Amino acid sequence: MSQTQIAAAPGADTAKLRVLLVSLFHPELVRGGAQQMCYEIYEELKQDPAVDVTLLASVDNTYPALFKAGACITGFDNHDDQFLFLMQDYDYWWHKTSATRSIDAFAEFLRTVRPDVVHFHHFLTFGIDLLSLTRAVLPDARIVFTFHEFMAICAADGHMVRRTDKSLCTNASSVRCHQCFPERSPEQFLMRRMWMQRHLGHVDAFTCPSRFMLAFYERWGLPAGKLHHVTNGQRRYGMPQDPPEGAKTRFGFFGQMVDNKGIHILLRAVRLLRAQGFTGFTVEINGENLRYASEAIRSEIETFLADEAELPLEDQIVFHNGGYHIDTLPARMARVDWCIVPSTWWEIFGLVISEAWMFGKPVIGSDRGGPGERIRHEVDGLQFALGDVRALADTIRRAATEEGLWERLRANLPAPPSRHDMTQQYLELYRAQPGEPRA
Amino acid sequence: MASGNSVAAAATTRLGFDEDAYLATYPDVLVSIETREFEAAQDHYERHGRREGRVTAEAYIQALGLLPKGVTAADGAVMDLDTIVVSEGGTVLVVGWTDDREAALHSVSIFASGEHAWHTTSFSRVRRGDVEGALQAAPGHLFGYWVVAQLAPGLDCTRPWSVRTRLANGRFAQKDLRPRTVSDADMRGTILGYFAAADLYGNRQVESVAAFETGIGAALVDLNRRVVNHVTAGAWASYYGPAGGACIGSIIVCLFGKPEFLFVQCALFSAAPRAREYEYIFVSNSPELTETLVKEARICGQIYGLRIVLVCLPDNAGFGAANNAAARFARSNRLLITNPDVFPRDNGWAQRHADIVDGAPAAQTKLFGAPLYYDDGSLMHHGMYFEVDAGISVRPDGIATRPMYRTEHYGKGAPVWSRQFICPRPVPAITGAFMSADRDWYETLGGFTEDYLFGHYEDADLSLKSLSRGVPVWVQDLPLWHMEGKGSVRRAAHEGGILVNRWLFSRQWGDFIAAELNGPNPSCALLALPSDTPILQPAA
Repeated sequence: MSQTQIAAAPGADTAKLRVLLVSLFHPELVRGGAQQMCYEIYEELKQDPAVDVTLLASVDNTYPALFKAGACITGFDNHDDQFLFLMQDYDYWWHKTSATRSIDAFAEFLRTVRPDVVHFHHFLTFGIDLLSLTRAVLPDARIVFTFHEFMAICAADGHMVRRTDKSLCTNASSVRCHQCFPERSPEQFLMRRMWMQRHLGHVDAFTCPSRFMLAFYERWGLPAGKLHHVTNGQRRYGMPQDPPEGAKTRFGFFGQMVDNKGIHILLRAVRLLRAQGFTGFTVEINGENLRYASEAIRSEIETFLADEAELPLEDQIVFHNGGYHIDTLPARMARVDWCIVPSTWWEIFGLVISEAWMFGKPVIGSDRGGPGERIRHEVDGLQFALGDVRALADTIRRAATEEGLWERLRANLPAPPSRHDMTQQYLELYRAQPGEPRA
Repeated sequence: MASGNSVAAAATTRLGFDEDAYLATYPDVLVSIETREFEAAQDHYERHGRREGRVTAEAYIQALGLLPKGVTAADGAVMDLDTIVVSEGGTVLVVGWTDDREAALHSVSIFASGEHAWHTTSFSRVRRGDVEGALQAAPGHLFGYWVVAQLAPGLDCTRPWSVRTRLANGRFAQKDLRPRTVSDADMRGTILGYFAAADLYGNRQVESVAAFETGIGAALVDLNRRVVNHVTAGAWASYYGPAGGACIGSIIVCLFGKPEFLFVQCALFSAAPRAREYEYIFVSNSPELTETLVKEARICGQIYGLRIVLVCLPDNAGFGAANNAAARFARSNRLLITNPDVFPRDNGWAQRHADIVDGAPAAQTKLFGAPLYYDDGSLMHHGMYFEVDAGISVRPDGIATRPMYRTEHYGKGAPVWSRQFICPRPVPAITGAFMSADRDWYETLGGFTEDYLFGHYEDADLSLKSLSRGVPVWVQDLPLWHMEGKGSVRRAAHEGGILVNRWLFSRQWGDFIAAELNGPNPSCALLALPSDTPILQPAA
């Protein structure tokens, strides 16, 4: 873009609400919940005649071919209203870029698009200080920020899982964070907190997809009046499937094969049940990215799957189907009766829960975080104590053997939150006046 | 800005031509003069003596009266030479050892390429475990010696130099070694690094003072002055953010080793209303960070709308000199010397500072500090006072004592509610982590004394310069965070610098402190709290 391109985009309707969605990654390039949700909103807003929506999604060096020489922001695949922010010189501790050209380009992009609303889905890859830059460039714009985990609070990838003992953390403090990062002093964590809060201070409205997150951010210091719960919604890409006859003994895992998704907990539960002589069930693993798991967990999973594959087919319980896309999800879902969400962290929302409900599958999930909040134990699903292998094993055995349980839970499954409802809630926030409480 | 202290030059003598000593040592010259072969002794020296190295002869040096009386003998002394380092400005560091168990080391002579000679008794001793092992000597004797002396710039270092050590019994030995050449700045680091790592018997603080008193301290201060003058003369300034306009204060931050504090401070200070009425001058003692700082300053100017001045120095000038250099770029009449690891505790800092400057009596704001708080919320600083310790050093040959001066912080570690520490009041000194100074007064005091090496004691020195002119420093109600010790990196040379600074500070202010400023309740009348100042009690 040229330095002089500061007028409104040609053809822009100034009567419309101009919304800029700033997305961590583009879902067509990198899969993930934050970018998927942002894209859902983008697609919904595209259908709203009263809104002009623009998407700015980041991309990192996993796609070097998209880094055009000398560019900091480019278009994306011939979409008129989708752009890529080419991440450069990013500091993962302070969460900022040191590339002056990136700063210039972002500021110029804001002046060009002139949005009434800038809705950030995460700050990772952009930089938390771009919130301050946005306020400097667009003093009157409404800034909305959606938290997809706790990265502002927690330097441990935003998971709030203590690195000391893998327990869930409920309260970040300088000393507690120093315990997780002994190489960093307590003072650094106070500075980090002040730095984050300084920039988040420009935000008019924060949203979290789960209610339990609100308390975390309020306790951390964000004003309660700015914190809102907006559940993640999706378009419907599946319908409840007809159940098979007989016992419901087919379990499925859908998600990334990384530590905090708890797949190792599930495999240990299988091992326990097999040792107990209970083998009348199957587990389908649908996931990838095992390379991002820790070495110990990766080794455990790989060894289990290799040993399993060595067994005669009739003795195998666990089947690894590899990764999946939305297009293949109906077929994968058709092969299971239950979905298991054994996450060992807070699991902020659990999109897979919504997907399971979409296809009429009751969910067995951890009793904390998003699953704990969303799954109604004994009503529409089953909970087990987070990280407890025996509890999960017992739950699987019960689910596979208790007559009528599946049918009872399935009958109470809620409709998955819709994209339309979610977007309407965001539009309320977009249109609210500064300081105005949400309707 | 002028240096405030004066330190005596090191006791090193240049060995040149002296007619009486020359003729006394060389009777052949007298004969030559009588036969009119030469007009005078100096004629002989110029035509032959210098080239023949006659002024380096032990007999000649003895004739100059620089050696102990008695015989001289070129055998019987055992010594070795580890290194000769010469700086571009002519400072030399000689490190070696000698076995002087029978007769003590008397003096050291340095002969540069056979043409120039110096003689010094300014040396210090260190323990040498390797020599103890080689000589199979029991611990207790200091075999090592080191010399720091100011010679002359531009000496020929392409040929070996000679170093002669001599003992009190007249025996001497000589070794040749080609010197290593370094910049003055590197020489400063080399000497301080060497001293920081040196092995000593007894109390390190006490023994370091003894070492510096030999003249080494003065030589180091001279060297540092030269480095600082060179570095600050090369200051390069660039400007970011909005230009022009008046400002009510100039926040000056000296950066060293950690660039991130520039953007963190800009972010946190800029949050306050009226923050943009101040300018932000960052002065860097880390030339390797220049490109990074330029980028960050540019970004900060854009994001936070602050007027930023970035002053980059070509080397480390030290805390005091860097702040003085930065002050020259200030546009306002109020200088806020601020450490990189100091941050506002709330967004009222800019207004509160302005209120203090505008509302408090002028004498209370010429130079004032602020309550500083640790990250854990407790008080870190509410002014400083001085303590005098009897430094005791137990050496193998006896016990030495020396008064040792140290600074302490009022209220360190006190709970945040302990308001007895935080009402405005005069104090003996304030930390350089935050100082707000009337610019005229700052300049009247000569700014920070630039003799101090790298950092430490300049703040107390500036405070005492003010107090000695009748204006005590105050602590005003302007609460700030201080991530003490996190704002810069510390290297081995800095440890040596602290020792030099302590010695220097004690020389300059020891008598004043002992007389009027000893302890947390000093007798100095200027520090008495005005009778109408309210004493606040701790919150219930």
